[in-house]
Amino acid sequence: MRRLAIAIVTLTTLLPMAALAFSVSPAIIDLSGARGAVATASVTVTNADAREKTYYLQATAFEPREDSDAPRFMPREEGSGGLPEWISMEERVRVSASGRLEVPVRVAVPPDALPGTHYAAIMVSDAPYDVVAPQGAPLQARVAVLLFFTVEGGEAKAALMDFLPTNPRAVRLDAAAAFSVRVQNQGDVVVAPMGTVDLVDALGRTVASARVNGEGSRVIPGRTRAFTGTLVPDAFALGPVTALLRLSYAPDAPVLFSSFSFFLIPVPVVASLGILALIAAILIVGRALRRRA
Amino acid sequence: MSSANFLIRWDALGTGGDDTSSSASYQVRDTTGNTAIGDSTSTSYGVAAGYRQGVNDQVITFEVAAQDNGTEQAATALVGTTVTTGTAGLAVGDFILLVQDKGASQVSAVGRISSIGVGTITLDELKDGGTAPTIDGTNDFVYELTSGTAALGTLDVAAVNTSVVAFDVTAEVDAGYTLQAMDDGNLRNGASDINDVTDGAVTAGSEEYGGRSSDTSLAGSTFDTADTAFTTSFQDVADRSAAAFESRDFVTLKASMTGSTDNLAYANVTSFVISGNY
Repeated sequence: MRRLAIAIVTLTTLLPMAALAFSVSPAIIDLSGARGAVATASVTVTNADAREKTYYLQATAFEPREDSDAPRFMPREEGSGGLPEWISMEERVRVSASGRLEVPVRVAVPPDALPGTHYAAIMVSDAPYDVVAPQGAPLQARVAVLLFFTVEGGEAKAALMDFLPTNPRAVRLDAAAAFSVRVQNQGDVVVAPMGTVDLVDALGRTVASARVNGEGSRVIPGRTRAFTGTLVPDAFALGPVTALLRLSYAPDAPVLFSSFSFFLIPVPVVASLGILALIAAILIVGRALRRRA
Repeated sequence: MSSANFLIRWDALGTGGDDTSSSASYQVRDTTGNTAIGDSTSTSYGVAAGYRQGVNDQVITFEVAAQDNGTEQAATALVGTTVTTGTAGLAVGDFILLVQDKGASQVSAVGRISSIGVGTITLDELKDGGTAPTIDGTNDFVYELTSGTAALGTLDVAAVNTSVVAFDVTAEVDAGYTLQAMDDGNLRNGASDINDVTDGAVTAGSEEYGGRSSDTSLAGSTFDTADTAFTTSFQDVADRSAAAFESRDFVTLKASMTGSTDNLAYANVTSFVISGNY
């Protein structure tokens, strides 16, 4: 028996017949300040619509995920404290058709704020956050601006957990080895470890190299992140080689070092040796056959 | 450099440039005349040389559009990215959904119209969900992605209803972006609701609601491999690990009912949030 039920998941209550498109910048804001101080930034909202639109801003908490660079947003809870409570800004702004608006963001640091990095998200939405689903309920589009605020007095400290080849082999046929670097943030300030890996042969020549975390991705306090890369060969090498990692994460912090080694026998060398061995075998067998004859 | 009322954060001596050069599909902000630009590193330092190195607007542009069922047109053939279909009401630049075998197992793809011919539209790409559509004219359709409403329509015990919500993202973030979704509860009307899918597949004759993403490699959820329930916690539905220009994905919403599902209009609120990866 056919039953009639209508299911509607609506994208917006206010503009039911419009696709939703808008721009927000910057995607990530890094700020710092002392206890009791006020820091300012701004979020730019660009309206791609041909009509004037209202946008809604709300500060919300997020938590980092283990070994990931994507935030996990938390439900908005009043009185939960933390950076979302320090942020003040206009919660509702009107942006002209095809226009752009810079929205000031103010961060008032409490006098008793803990030193170190605090983080939150500023959600920009084209629909109110407290909408209740009527028939044809809204489906909201939001852009989250991540805010990292460092209260002065914190310590930047990171430890290198490991630096390993992705496929450990004692002997390799090429220098393009993939590797993984794991860094743990043991301080209370967010860090962005960056560095290089150089593959050095027995003569001290650099035969391959790679950058580590060239994008400047962050490691949040108390978290561990892995960064991967692949060495790019610069020169021919044969024999024992060592991959040297140099990683820095803060201006006044010591550089982190590590290494791993392997034996490199390039494919052309292997092929040449094989051909020589085959020729030698042919000559030896041929001479033996002639003597017998 | 600064004065009493102004601050120049950085500058370079060059020979020209522009912030607003553009074409139909691209925008360029350029500076000419800088010498020795690029990245350099030493043991403890890195240098990013060049005027544009200081420009890092990190703009995220996010477009969300749902399938407009009122624009359904039959699709009868597909060659490359050219679809044979009715062209009434379509224009270059329109965001289009192509569906093969509409229903629970439909194969979908999205793209923007780059040109319109007689009885054909050519798309700039066909972003699919891991399987390219094959159009034979049977139960194949084209829709405009222009709606702010994703209407699943009137449910039937014998079928699974679908609706596609598509995304077009430009993210000037080196580490890429993550797109997450949540809802405020089940599709509901008062105390009656439609259950979330729990077995990985929305099936005709079962009361189920869920979605499936076109992104086939998600580390943070199961939207890539199974019909997955939306919850009140954010879950990943798409992600990229590098800066992206007009990067497209879609989520196929699916709903089904049983003979005992109450005859009502059900609704809920679903939110899509995009953020740059840090």
